[in-house]
Amino acid sequence: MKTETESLKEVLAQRSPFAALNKTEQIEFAQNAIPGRYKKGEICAYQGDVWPYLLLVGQGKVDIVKESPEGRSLIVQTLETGDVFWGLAFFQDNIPMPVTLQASQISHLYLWDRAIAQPILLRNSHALWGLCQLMVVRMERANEIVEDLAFSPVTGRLAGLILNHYGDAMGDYTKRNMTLDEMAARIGSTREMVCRLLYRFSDEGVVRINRTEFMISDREKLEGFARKVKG
Amino acid sequence: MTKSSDGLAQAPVFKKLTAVDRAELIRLAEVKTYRKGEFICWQDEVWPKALYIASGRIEWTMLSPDGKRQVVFGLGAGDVVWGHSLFDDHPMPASLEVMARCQVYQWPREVAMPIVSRNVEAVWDVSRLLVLAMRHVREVVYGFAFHPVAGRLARLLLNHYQPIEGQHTPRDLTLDEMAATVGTSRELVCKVLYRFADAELIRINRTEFVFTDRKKLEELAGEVS
Repeated sequence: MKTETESLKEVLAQRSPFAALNKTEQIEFAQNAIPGRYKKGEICAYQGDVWPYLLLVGQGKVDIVKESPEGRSLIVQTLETGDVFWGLAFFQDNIPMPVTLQASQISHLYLWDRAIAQPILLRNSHALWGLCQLMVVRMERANEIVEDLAFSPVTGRLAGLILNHYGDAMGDYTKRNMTLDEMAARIGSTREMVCRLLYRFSDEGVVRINRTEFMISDREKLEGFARKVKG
Repeated sequence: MTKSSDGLAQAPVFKKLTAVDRAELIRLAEVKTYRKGEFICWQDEVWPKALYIASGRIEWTMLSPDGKRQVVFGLGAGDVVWGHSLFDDHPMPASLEVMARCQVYQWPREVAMPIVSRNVEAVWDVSRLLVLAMRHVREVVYGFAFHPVAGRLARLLLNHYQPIEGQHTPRDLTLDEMAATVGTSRELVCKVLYRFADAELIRINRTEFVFTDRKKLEELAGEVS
């Protein structure tokens, strides 16, 4: 049976930026990983903490959550199995985390302290370019969110979320697996506004909704809402 | 046009190169001057280049399908941009729009990457620059998600004018520029500015601001909890 280090080494050989390291460097990374198991809802890193780590999601899902001083939350992105993330302090001394990392299901993570990872990465420019490429992908996602928030009204953002999340529920009831708070946190709004808009969609025959189930009844109209631009 | 290495030797990424590599990059640079209103690259264009701003001012802007403009962040002399397309060959998520006449040095990927790759500390600097750019983008996201227009405008005034209480500050942003930065209309910017004036946070005339209550502006901007 493979040890955890051996299994991790195989994962690293497939994943950017680790895949660009040579075999010795990959083994060094695997041996120095700090593994951690998190339950659903458990916090992996807190907004405001100095967190100088590189993170690989071995298994599970982790939400990147921004919290406002008034206690509102915005889920910026969800990391999935194989995704890589980093604390700002991994790159710059003493810069606190701008977000919280919270497991949204049972998750198995690997962390590398900057003191260990940076010297290895600094031997290998290909791995660093790989890391840059991941950043660009992440930044493109952040730009898409800006585009949504700046140009699309809340109605459009909610319609987009429903299409992405419940897109397969056309003409069939599906289980509601997102709370109003989660929906609000994903589109940068409040639960009250989400509730109001869901009832508006329902009144207009776009969706059918009850306490536990959800159905898209007029996909074309919902797509029309999603395309609308702020006036 | 002369190619000076002075500024480049101080700039992120380039300062980590050896003098020989830096000289080679300067020799291979395409030096261009852009006028205000010109675009260095367009949103949705594949732009696999690295860019050093020797002088002037540029904004990273996004356009909606119906032409509404959103400024994501500004860049000035000494700043360095690594085009996203350089890493993934995908179109740019935003445009680089010239706000004040500028001179830039630019390099295509096939020139920039091999030379920078000879100096791994310089590649590390590229990743730090990208982290910084991402922070700018995320701040805009958080502003939209959590702050009403008044809060976003207060934050813009504080960041742009770095005001000292009681001091007269020349207005160098138009209502349209403010609106494009905070993601609203010029009419709403005008209304909110007059609301700030009524609440005695600022005094305002056609050419100047006087910031009279910086603390309240900071509270509005969400910078004081």
